[in-house]
Amino acid sequence: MTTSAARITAPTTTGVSLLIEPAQRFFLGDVTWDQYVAISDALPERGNVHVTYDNGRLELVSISDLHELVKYLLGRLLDILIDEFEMDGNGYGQMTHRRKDLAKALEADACYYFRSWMKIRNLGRRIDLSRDPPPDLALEIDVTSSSIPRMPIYQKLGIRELWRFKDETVTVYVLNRQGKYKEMPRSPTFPLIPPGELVSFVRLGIQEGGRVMANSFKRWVQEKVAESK
Amino acid sequence: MTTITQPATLPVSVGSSAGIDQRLVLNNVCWSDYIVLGKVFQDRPGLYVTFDRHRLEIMTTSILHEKLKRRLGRLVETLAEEFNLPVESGGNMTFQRQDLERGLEADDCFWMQHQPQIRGRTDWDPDRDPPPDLAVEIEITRSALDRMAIYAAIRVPEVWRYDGVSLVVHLLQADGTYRTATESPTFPGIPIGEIVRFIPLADTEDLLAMVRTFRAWVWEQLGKSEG
Repeated sequence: MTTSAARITAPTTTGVSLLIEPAQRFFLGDVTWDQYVAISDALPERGNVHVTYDNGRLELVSISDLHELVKYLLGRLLDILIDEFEMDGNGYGQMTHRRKDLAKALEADACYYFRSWMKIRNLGRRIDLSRDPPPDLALEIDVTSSSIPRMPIYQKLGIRELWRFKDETVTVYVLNRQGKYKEMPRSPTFPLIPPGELVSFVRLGIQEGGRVMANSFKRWVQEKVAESK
Repeated sequence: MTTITQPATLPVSVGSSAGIDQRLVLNNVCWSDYIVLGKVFQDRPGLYVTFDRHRLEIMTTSILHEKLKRRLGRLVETLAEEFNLPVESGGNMTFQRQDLERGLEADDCFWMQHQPQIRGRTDWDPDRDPPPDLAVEIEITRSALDRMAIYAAIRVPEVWRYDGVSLVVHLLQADGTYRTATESPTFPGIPIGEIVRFIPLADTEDLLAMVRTFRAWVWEQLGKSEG
């Protein structure tokens, strides 16, 4: 706890490496869409394997424990932001994004509907990205040297805002009018939060556990909100 | 989960035959998903799917692995010829035992003693067909799963393992394990380990030179063993 006089600052945990290597990776060429679907459907539900498909190229990447941990912690931070900023909507986790017409598919690490939530809220069927809006925000924990670039796929899917965790930083990308990602200093969804600070909290979470991180982050966010008024 | 060392570079060309070894091992895969994945990957040369009780491995083999497999296959067929045995080669045939939750594709496999029983077959059904009399296992690219245990489960009586340097004969015992041997009961009188000496001839001369020289050596061995 800090004294009433001190501002709450983001934690400065050091010594925790967040460089994520893939546990295992497998690349195949000349894969048809139907083969991709068969492979994607046959993989074990919680097998921690991401499948990326782009015009015949297929990559399977199994997610390392550190990747899972970062995903969990970032997800908790996002939940706190959603609560503190009273964002209506829902998260769809690792929903598989498929666009047969584009011959592209992937799973984000996490995805959220906010402004488009009302459109998919009562669909009563699976989300079909060829006719339903894509998520408003996706989280991508980037694995170093993936052989199929995923940013172009997110772009083509039309996901407006992408948070990419890579090389121990979080970068916010927002689609511009030309449908291309532009790096932004702040998330348009949570403009009061400098994205760079998120990594400090993730490090805290790794060291001290999710609950300590969550409590600390919540207080920090609340102070940011208070400052802005 | 098993962690496998990754190749240093990624393939720049499409297709699994780019000569780069890749391997992915997945846990918690059920039999029906293995069957689906096996079918999807079936017709890709150099890509092997192995399944052992909920662990699934997809592996690509190198061009060298495939080449040695073909060379050794020629030598086996030549031996069968010289021993006057009927022979069927199953190549990459898939062997699956749902009851044991195991399956693999052989590098190469042969029926000789049991060839009459599988004449004309294009697939293997454990309820109908005998296991191959001989399986050849090339170990340039090594599986992370225990393929020998899968061969034992399928009851293949003889497996030759070749790592590019030595060829060792493995014979199935009554207790379900393999023991090594220097000779094959299928080709008595031939020191099997030595046949791989002829493989380089296919590169220094040509495939048929390898076969001819090998054949002459086989005659020599048989002449010797006949006293």
